[in-house]
Amino acid sequence: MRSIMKKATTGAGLVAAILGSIALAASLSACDNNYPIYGSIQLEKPGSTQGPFYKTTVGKVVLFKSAYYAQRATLISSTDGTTWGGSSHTPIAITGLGTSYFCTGLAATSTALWAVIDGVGLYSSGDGTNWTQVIADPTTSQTSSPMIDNVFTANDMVFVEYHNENNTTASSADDIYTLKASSDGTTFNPVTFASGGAQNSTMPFAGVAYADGSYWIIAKDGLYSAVSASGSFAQVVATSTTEIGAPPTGAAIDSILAWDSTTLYAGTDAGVVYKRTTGGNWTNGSSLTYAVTALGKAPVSSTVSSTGWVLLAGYGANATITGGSGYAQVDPTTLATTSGDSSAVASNATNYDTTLSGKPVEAFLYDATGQRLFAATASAGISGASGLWTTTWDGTSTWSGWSPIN
Amino acid sequence: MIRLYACLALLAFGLGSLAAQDNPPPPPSGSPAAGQATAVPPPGAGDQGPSGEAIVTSPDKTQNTSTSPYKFGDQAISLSAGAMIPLGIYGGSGTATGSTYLGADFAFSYRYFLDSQWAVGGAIAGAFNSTTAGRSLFTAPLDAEISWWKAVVPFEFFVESGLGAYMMRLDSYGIIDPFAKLGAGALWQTGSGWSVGIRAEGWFIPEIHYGDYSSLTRYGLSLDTGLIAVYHI
Repeated sequence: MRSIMKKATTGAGLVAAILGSIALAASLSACDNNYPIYGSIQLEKPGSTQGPFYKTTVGKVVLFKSAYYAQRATLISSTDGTTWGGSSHTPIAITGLGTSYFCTGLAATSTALWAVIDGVGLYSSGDGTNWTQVIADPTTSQTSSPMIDNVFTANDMVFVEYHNENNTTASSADDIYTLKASSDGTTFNPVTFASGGAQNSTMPFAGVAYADGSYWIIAKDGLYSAVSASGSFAQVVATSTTEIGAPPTGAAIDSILAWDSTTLYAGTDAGVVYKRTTGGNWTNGSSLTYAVTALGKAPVSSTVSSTGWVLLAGYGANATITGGSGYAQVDPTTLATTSGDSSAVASNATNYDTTLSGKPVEAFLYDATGQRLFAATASAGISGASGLWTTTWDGTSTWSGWSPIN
Repeated sequence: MIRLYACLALLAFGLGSLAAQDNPPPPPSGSPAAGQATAVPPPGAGDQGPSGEAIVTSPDKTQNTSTSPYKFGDQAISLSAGAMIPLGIYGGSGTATGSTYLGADFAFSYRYFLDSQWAVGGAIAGAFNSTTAGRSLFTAPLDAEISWWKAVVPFEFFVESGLGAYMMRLDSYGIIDPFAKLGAGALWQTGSGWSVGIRAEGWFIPEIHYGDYSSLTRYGLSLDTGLIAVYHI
């Protein structure tokens, strides 16, 4: 009898365990009929495990004379967008320096490639191979002399940023940043600001663009513009809360993009994208989830944007909004945004979820000739991540999907 | 949340009941361990060693080795763990390249013998696999099983099949769908109510979507293989 009772107890326990398991499983698992679990796995692409951009931050990628150049600690180039530095991923050697240098800035004009080498100065190259030192940094310590730490280009003008730490302490509160500009790549003249705090700025300049007949410079306290680079730049002043101003909605401007010859976009630390067309005021879109640290444009099918293009707003971590990365697609006409959306330039939702989502975006580059889009990311230290991602456009309606460059 | 706690309580009760068997269970009736070593010691084996410790005697090698240790009403539970080998994801367009990597799994099962060879029962299992992009896929099937057992003392062999349902999670997404498996195993009787061995199961995991999303339907195949320990209640 006791044996029978024992078995009965055991049987009841088993039944209870099974029923509990069923109920627990049902509680924990919502049925997502519209999401393909296996289907999404099928479309995954492996992360980077090696190569020139493995766990690397790429600050900039530019197109110059049918070749691509990426800025890591060293420069590296590619002609097809997939093989960088040849089969052995050899960095670009700077004349006189070899491959032992640290690059802090990269930009291109129609005739030259420009690179800032930390502690050495500004270099240019007409072919990407042979480099000439244009400006030499002073040999004295950076604590007492301004040294070049970045370069921008717009409308074939070259802007170099000088950084003077201006003290002998570790504090950066009294650092001074200034700009010089050159139209011929030889003579650099100081950029002057008529108002605001951009003159002898205490923070770096974030970008330069040219559109609607003016140069536009992002400084610590807002946006400045001037018809001529040698003229005096005036601060853009907001006349309403929907406009970009000084500073816009209390947050710094992080990025600027000349969409075409007349239209500009700017992204802010507060995650707002602003737009300006010919002669008009800046208008704002809805706030995105994270700071907009990079802006780019890419073609899409007419189902996404009536203009046939989409604005990409790259996310990055910053002091105001932290924790997010990836990008959002923005309708260039209405500024309507879809945070983290993948329908524009990723092949599908899974492709976005498993690639750029989670990576702070530093820069975009679209090459209309090669129909190739790049996203440079701050992926240093991120396991399995690549600093440079690419996707290709078929010319009509389809993107191949983001892939890491290995 | 209340529902979750209730489920956990029910599960805890069930497992607690199983663990609350205070006396060591007897070996399976009719097994060599019960019938030869304990109930009928072979001549000369003795019941105690020189220091008085219990001696478990090996099964009599002269017995009929095809005799089944089971009879109607016997029960057994088993724990197993091993490797979950993905065999592929099928269906959809031909451009797919991603898959899952070798993972790990565990299982708990219960069997009730209908006679000396046939048993019915059920099992719950969990398997983890990493995907191509580094995501974690969790699959947990729960199924009813029928199995056929053959004893060649001190070994046991079984073939089993199961039908049930599974839940699967990937990131924040989940699904519940039907499940089927087919497997086999080989065990060695330790003589103390336990049998240990190896087993392998093929899992058929259809991910079925309905209505407008029927095109998302895919089929997964996996091979669950590893070690198993069976305790005869």
